[in-house]
Amino acid sequence: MRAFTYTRARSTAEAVSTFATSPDDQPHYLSGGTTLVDLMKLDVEAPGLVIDLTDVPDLDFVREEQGDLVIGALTRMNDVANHSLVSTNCPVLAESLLSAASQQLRNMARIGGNLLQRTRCGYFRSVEFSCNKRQPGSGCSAMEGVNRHHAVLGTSDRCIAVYPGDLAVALTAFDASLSVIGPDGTRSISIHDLFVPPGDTPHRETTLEPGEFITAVRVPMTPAAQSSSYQKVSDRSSYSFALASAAVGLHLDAGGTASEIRIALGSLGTVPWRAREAEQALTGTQLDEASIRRALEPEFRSARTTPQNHFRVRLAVETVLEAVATAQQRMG
Amino acid sequence: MNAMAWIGSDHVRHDGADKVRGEPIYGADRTAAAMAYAVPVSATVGRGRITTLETAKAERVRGVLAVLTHENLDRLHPSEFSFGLGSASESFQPLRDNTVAYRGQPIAIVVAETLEAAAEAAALVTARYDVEPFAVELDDPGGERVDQAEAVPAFPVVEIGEGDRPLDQAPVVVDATYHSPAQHHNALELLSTLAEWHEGALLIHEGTQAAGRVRHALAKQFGIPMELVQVVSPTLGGGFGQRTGQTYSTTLAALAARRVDRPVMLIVPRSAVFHSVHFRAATRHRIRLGARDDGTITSLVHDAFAQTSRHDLMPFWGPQVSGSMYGIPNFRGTTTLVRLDTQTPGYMRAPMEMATMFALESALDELAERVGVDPVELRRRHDTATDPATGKPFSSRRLKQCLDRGAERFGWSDRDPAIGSMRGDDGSLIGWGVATGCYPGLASAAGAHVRLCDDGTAEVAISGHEMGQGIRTVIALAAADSLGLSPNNIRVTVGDTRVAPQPETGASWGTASALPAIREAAIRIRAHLHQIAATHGEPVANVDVSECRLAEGRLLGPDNSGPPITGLLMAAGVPSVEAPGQYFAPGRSPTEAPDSATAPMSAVMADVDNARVGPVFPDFVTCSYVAHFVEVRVGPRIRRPRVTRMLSVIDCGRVISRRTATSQALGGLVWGISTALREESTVDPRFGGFLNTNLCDYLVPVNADVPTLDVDFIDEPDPSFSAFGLKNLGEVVHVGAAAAITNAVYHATGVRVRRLPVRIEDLMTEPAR
Repeated sequence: MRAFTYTRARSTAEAVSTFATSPDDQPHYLSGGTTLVDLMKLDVEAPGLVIDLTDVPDLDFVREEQGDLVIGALTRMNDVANHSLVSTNCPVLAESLLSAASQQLRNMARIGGNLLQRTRCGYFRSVEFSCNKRQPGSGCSAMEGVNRHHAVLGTSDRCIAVYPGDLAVALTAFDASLSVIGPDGTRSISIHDLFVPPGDTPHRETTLEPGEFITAVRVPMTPAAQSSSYQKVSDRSSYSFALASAAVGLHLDAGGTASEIRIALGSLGTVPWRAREAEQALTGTQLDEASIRRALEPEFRSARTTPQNHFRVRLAVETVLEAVATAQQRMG
Repeated sequence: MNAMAWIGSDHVRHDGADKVRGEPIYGADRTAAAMAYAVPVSATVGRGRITTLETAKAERVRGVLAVLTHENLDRLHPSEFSFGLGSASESFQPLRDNTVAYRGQPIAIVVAETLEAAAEAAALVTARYDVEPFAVELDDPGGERVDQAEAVPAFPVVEIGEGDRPLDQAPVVVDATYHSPAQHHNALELLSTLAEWHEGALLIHEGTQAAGRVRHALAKQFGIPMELVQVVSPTLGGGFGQRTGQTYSTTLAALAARRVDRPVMLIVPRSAVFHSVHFRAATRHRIRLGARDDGTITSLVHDAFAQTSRHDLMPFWGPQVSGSMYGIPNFRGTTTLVRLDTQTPGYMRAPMEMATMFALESALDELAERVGVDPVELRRRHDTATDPATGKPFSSRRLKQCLDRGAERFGWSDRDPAIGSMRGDDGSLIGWGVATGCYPGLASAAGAHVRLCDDGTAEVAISGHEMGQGIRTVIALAAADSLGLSPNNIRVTVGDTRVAPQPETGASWGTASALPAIREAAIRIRAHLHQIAATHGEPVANVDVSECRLAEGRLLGPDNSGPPITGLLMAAGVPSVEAPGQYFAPGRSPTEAPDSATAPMSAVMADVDNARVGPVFPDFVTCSYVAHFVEVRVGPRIRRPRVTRMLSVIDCGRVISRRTATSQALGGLVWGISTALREESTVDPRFGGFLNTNLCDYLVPVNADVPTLDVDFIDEPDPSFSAFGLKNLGEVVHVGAAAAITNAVYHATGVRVRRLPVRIEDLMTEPAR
């Protein structure tokens, strides 16, 4: 870890102005620190100025606003997961949070920072190796390397690093939006517009502008949120990133037809992956295993797999089926 | 010398309360006044030579005291690989010159006022290399194959009966190849050394399981008398074979301390642990079983491949294990070593037995299915009272009892042998598997110094290292019985070369070696007290000393009467009596061993340090045994295997400490789950070294992966191996556990996984049935 200057911001305005006026090339905001500090220790990140946001008031809350669930960006993962509004009205959010990391990490990590966690690609995390994400143009070590955990969707010739988070997958399924503050004021971004597939610029992961940070997450509580489910498959039972995950929400009308279905895939893509084609194919139909399998097929047409990770395409389908089954049980 | 009361009991862990309170001091917990920190810089190429090493930036970091490189390092005597006459985990010593033997080895050591400054500076050291070709996988053409029998005559080809010739005639042949990956010990406690020089004398604090060996190696390397080196290792946060040799990190810490003339703490970072010290070699085993149609095995052929390093030959004696496991009349076993560009592999819990028995017990399961014989029954039928390799009887072998008791307790008779026939309520596939394991009876020398005090307490300073296995507890129990005290009143010092010799504690021999030394010391103390009693006209002195015992704080005769020990000490005007004790494994006593009753303590102890590991019995062979029974469940949709039930029955002779034995057995089973379903050191052949060098990517089980485990002991003594009736325990519990799990996976799914660990994708292809 390199020496750096550390400062605590007391307000959003102070944070933004400290960032904007910093002489340092790459100042960095800090919340729970579970990603940033880790990467600083590995020398992957080396900010000269770290601006701690955790003293900024009024960003630690969970509440309902006009039928939406609104969560302050500095709320701890565990506090969100254990909040009754969340566990009752949107189990997929609680499950995605509780399936992630460990109790200790969930007590530290804040949900704004959680969304912005970096990939776990071993070649990205070790400065010994070439990595287009860490050092644009240096090459990708993963494509011909150990890539069992790497992305099969949304990849490019430059990068196949997977987006590893869980919460963002649930938010993607439910069209969440993010309140953002920065040098140019506040704005709102759809979760779908936050993450950027690698393309030719794998070092650019989100559409946040320099100096911007997330202040709140807003989740529309549609009928499907009530009977939603997050399923995560990893090598071990906890404290592990997913091989495949699925966030599913479901609303069936009286006749058993799916009036609303939401499906997002996690740990499959370079970004959280919304299965819109499958949703469209299934909306208004009676769900059964065969139809879900069929509906998911087009989602993987663009998949680019390696001998090590091709099994995750099938695993993803099974994971969605498992999530749908759980969501159906929650419909009662 | 008296009835055992504490031995065999379930008394609490001697240091349990201390551990709960966080009191034990582990290696890196220790600090010293004006201590500086050293951080290694690792090589980033697979093999080659350093052409330039840029340290100027690092030296400019505030607080940096020195940057040690091959260009400025003090010359030392070479380190010698422990397999031979040396004491080091490998012969290669980084920083001696510009050689890079493998990716991850240190190329520089940064010493600074703080850990943070040292780490920051270490990241600023840059090197350029001439890269040479390297190989890190068993089948890489760059790996040099060595016929072990030729290169290491101590481990010849094993031939029993007619060797491999009967295989051709066998009506049933199972011919399969099994793979085990490299594994690295990942104890929570990192390798760490605190090195201090005081007027030419070197004091080392580190978590090692061989303080005496580290001491010898350092004295030799630095060219100073052994008396000037002391090594202290009171508690390890996990040994498991990793810390059985001197590692170069210790040497480098000592060099750094001498250079900056201050105590230096060197903590090897987690990623560097993967490139610093012993690890479990990747292995491959071709097993061929020839059998009659009824399942009677007539021949076994075992061809093993194991990784070693370019610079050392670490032998692999798996065929020496498989040839002695069952009553199979014809056997041939060979080993090929493959030199690869990593550090030298070495010992990791059941170093030869784990992979060997995974292979053999998997093959037996394949045969059982082929011939339609229940897998428990197949093993029972091949029990043997004599060791096929030597023709000598086993001193005790209760494998059949392990199988029978295990089968009954597990409910094995309810097993439907048809593959995939057993289902859980949720539709999951249920599989039941069995496998056995063995481990040879071993012992090292030990020295003890026991002091019985007039306040009713005792001090035991003894050979041994506490790495969580509970050696303090067994020592306290044995001393309590021998001295007639409560274990709570016994203070135990282990792992300290200043008070007792410290040969390696490993290979499950800790208890077998320590206990006789305590008993010998206690017998001398009894004699001493008997003499005092005689001087003071106590009636008990009229009874022969051998009929007296120390109990209830008294020197008791056969009539259960006798004077209190405190009274005797007071009468003699001494605060305590003390005596040394020593033990040499049978067949391994030095020819001119000094009598520990009369010779100076230092002479006694030197002999203990130099004694060879044994025992060598002329008439029999000793092994410990285990039988594992496992249930796995595999999801109907997501075919992720989970162990849901595990029962193991162990023949380790007499159980000395039920509390710590149970705990040690549970640990072996957890590691079995890890070996079968989680653990693997991955390599990227393009880069060399190991890749997944952190606890996120190197998978070990979490609590949620481990079901309730059940262990049971036959608990019948083996008086031939040890006067205490014990046999070894620590390793055998791990042996065969992985095979029991993969056999259960096969029973559930019909997928035979011959390459550890089992991954979810292995079970996602429908088996060809």
